[in-house]
Amino acid sequence: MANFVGGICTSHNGALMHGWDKQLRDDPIWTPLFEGYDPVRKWIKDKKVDVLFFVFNDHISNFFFDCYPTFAIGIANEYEHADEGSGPRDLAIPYGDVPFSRYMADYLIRHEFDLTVCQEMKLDHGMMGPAPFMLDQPWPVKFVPFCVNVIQHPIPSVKRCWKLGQSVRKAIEEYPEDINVAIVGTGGLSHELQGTEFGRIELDWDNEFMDKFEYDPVSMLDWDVKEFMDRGGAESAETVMWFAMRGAMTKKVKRIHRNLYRGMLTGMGILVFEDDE
Amino acid sequence: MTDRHYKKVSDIKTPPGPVTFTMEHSQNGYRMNAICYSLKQEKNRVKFKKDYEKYMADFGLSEFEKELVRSRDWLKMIHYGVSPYVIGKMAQCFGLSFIDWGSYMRGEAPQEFIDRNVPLLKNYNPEDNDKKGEE
Ligand SMILES: [Fe+2]
Repeated sequence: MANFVGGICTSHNGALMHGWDKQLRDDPIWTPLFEGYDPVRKWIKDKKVDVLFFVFNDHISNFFFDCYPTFAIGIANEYEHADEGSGPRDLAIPYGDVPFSRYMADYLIRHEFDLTVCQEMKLDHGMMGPAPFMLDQPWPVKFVPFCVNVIQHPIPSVKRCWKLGQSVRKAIEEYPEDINVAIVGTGGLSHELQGTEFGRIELDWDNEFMDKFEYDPVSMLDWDVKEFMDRGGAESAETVMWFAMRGAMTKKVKRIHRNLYRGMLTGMGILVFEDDE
Repeated sequence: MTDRHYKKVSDIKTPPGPVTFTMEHSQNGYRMNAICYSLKQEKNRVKFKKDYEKYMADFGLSEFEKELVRSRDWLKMIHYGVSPYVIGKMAQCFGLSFIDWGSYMRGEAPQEFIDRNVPLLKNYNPEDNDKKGEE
């Protein structure tokens, strides 16, 4: 049977692409952020993770508004890197675990999640922003990319994402193969990329959120997405995706790692949790 | 088609604060988002930069949409329904960085914005936060 090893949450943004592609670890602005990901890389290695179930959003790189899916899962053997304006990035090819991906799609659709199933997907910074910070290349894991619409409202609620995480967890535990799987929730934290308050960051809220998220996530399950947008800026709506990770975990968690960094435009959080029950 | 009853670019209101990008924005801004999206490709950016009037005409933008591009008013574009995830590609063709068009929306000089927002150079992880976690 598959083994659920734990969950990771991480912000994602375009800056991560820049920092990685230019290899800016030694730039004092970037060093703390690179170091913030080192324990994640170690944890993934120590836990011998085989597959990452990666919850993220596309930023009009793979999908356009002609057809923008609310939930979409990749079931491909191999994925391409998106061209976000500077050409496709020079990163290792991300491979999928086809039987596991199909199984996950099948399970989730049978359990009330009506997914769009994708045989091709170009992965953008929603996933490939943080991925190279967390993993060596060639990638030591296979990926299941799972896209959530968080940019064209209405978007899935906090509770919906939480329930998604619960179902993902159950599905993993019922998978007959002996593989180690972790879930990744991405997005946020505070940022606002448009309007007269462009660049708004709420680091105190981010910090408070990370506390609540760890100790009392249930208190936020009935929050409207707007609550997050008011507290952490319009684009922090994507924080709902963190709840997919949290829903997959036990109520009480063991924190392996926590990091918060203030980038130029984004409050950037990192968490690694294991079950503690 | 929705048109939100805009006749002129100056009709687009820009109240303070952010825009929640809804289906209505998405439908209003559909062609504007499409042209910005097309500019993710270098070959299209070259064409746009060479003669953006021709590029807009070839793309089939309406007079209103052309006027909106000519205005280079990024804040109005956002309120009209252009997604912040594609608008930057057009701004880039006019020689503007993310911070440039971002601070334009704030009504601020780019350098002012940068000076106020330098990253902290350290992680924000007061150990005090751990007191609830582990004893
Ligand atoms: Fe995002």
